[in-house]
Order: sequence, then structure tokens, then C-alpha cells
Amino acid sequence: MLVDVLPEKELVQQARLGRSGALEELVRRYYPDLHAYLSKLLGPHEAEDALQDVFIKMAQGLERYQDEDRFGAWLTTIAVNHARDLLRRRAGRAGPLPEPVCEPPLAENEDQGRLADAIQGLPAQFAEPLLLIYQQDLTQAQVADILGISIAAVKMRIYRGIRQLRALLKEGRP
Amino acid sequence: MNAHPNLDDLERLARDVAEDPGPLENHVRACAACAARVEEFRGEEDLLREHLAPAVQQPSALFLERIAAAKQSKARDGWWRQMATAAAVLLGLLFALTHPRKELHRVLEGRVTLSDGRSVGAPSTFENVGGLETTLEKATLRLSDGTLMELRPSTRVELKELARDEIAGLGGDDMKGIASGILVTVLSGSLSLSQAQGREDLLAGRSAVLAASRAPLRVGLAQEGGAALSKRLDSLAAEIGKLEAEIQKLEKENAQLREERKAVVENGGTPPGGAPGQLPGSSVKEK
Repeated sequence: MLVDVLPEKELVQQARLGRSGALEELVRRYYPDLHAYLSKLLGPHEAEDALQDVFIKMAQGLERYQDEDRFGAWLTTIAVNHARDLLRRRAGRAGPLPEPVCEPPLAENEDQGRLADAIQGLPAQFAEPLLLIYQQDLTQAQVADILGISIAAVKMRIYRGIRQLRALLKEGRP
Repeated sequence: MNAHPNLDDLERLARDVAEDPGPLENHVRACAACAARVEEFRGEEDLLREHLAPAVQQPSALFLERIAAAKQSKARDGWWRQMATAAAVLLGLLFALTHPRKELHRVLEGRVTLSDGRSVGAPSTFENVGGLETTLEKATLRLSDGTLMELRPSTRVELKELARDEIAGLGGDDMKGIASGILVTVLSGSLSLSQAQGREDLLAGRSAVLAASRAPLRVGLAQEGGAALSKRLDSLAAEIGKLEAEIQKLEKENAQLREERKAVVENGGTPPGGAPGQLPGSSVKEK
């Protein structure tokens, strides 16, 4: 059976049974999105190592994991929590930024590289929902579930995160 | 609401976090300028989607191998395998007591140079040695205890097997109860140590103990190791300084000799030490 055409639920079952190729296919499917998420949060150099740790935790936790319908959310939660642990351990990371005054909206010609770099300058509690919503294309409800907070809290973090992002870009401080 | 709301209120409305959205919405419905501002704020979200879109990346073969290896390592913890493992451990202990132990590390990626001068590339194994280093490329090793060691380019590492009393001497509650382990010390560069229980990144001057069924334990040898390393570096620097001074002196003498030889040859004589190409002390043989 070709694993690359299997629906995800079946793929997870096959991977749990140790079927050759099923685990690899799961990794391949989620690698691009999680790599992009961790790159923006941790930087490209740490992202690869962090991603390896995330998939190892996934591979080792598969036997215990039962809710095959929520595999994506479960894996994303592992990635979010692992990134948080790394950010907490990271020495010299700046503390919370002061609440900025409201600036005019971001311009359309905002430099993509600077915008992506500025995400790394945000506290994790703001960077996480921004990336999960606007990069991973999850709904607010899904993000609330992954982060273990209310939908209202997700909206507030988006609001504060974008404000801080704007302020960082204006100061030219990534 | 007659006056225009401030930017912050309009942004809160755009993000659906306004405390009292009713009056704001009423105003925005009637005010094109404020409605445009709200749309601009919402437009930022489209910008973020566009700029944060993930680039397509694919995992490497080595990456996939590591994940598969980690799962197999976990799968081996099934209860019937634990019974077999217990029996194997007993046999292994008996074997270790009666036979010399040969620790083997395996190179998964890249190449390392061992302290005895051998260069070992993937996929090869080698015995436990005192030290190893990478050159311009990174390298990945699986140590004899199963730890994955990823060395950055130009990294030098010292590996040392420790017995219980040596580990206890390192201090710290974490070290209690550990019967044996491998002490990894980074002399230059940096590396990562990964086990199923956890991971540790080490920079130059840092050390960690690898013990069975534990995450790598960072030891407080930074200061001691750093001081020893500094001392060693100072001593090497002093030696290099002496060698440089000698080289300069020899170069100066060499230049002087060349000048003298040139002067003699120009005057038609035989330079000291014989003709060019003739060894000093040897006589010129007439053909």
C-alpha cells in the first residue's frame, strides 16, 4: 500500500503499528509547516534541531496517543511546547516589551525579511498565536485549543502581538 | 459617539477585542474615514499571511533516519523485550567481568579525526578514544551508550570514561547514584548531545556526563575546565611566541647568509660552505 496517498488517520494507525514508511510520510507531511513555524520563532539555525526533537517526541509518543482525528493539533502542541522550553532556556533573551502606543497600520511594501525577523523579537506568547493563525492557517478555536487558552485570549494576544510587531518594525529593532 | 474614535479603539474593533463595540460600530458605519482605518488594520492580517507563508522544505534522509531510530529505541521497551533485556544485561555483566570491554562509537555523518591521528568517516565505528575533532565539516556520531553527538565544524572533544567515585566527585544531586558514565568535554567549537530523555548543547569549556537512562547532565566544570583550558591556551601561546621568535631569528640569519654569499660570488670567489648546491664540509670533486 502506498503510504503517500493514505488519509492521515490511517497513516497514524500504520505508523503506530510500525509499518515501514508510514512514520516517514507523517514527518514529510508536517515538516514544511513546522519548520516554517520554528524558524520564525527560534531562528533558522535552531529550527532544524528543534524540529528533530519534536518529531522524536511524536514518534515515541505515538503508541500512547489515541485521538487520531486530532493528530495535527497534537503534533503542533508538541512543537509549541518544545519551542517554549527552548526560548525559556535561551540566555539573554529580552524580557517583555513595554506596551507600545498605537501606530499606523503596516504598509504593503513592508520588507518581508524584516517582518519575519521581527517575529523573533516578540515574546513567545504573542509570536505563537500570530504564527499559528497567519502562517499555519489555523482557526482561532484551534489555536485556543493548542495553547490551552480561551478564544478571547487568542484575540487579545493577536491584537497585542501585531501592535508590538509594528512598533518593532518602526524602531528598526528586530 | 460624535467625535472620531482614536486609533487604538479602531484597532481594537478590527481585532474584535473592543470592550464596548456597539458605539464604535455605529460610528464606523457612518464614517468612511474610520471605516477605511478599520479595513487597513484588518488588511495587516492579509499582509502577515502573505509574508509568513511557509516555504516548502523537505526533511533529509539523515533526519528521517534519526526519527525512525528514536521510535525503534522506544519500541524496544515492550514488556517482553524488557524481560529479554534483563537477561541480556545479566549476561552482559558476566561477560564484562570476564572479558575486556570494547566500546564502539559509530560515525553517522561527516568525518572525525581521532586523537591517535586516524581519520574515520561515515559509516564507520571506532573504539572509545581520548579525543576527537572535526575539521571544516560537521559530523554526527552515535556514541557507545546510544547518545547522538552532533559536532559543529572545527570542534574538538575529549571523551573520558568515569567510574562511580569520579562521577560523585563532580558534585550535585544529579550525579548521585550514577554507577558509570562518559564525561564529554568540549575543548573548542560546540556540539549537541541528544538522548531519549533530553538534550544538551555544549560550548567550548563545558562538560556533560552521559549516563544510562538519563538526559545529558551538564557539570559545573565550566570554571575549572575553563581555567585549565585558559592555562593550556596561555602555555600554547607562549610556545608559539617562542617559535615565532626563533623563526624570525633564523630568517634574519638566512637573509644575511644569502647577502654574504651573493657578495662573494659577485667578487669571483667561492662562497663559504662551498659552491651553490654543494653541501657544507664536502669537497668538490673534479670530473
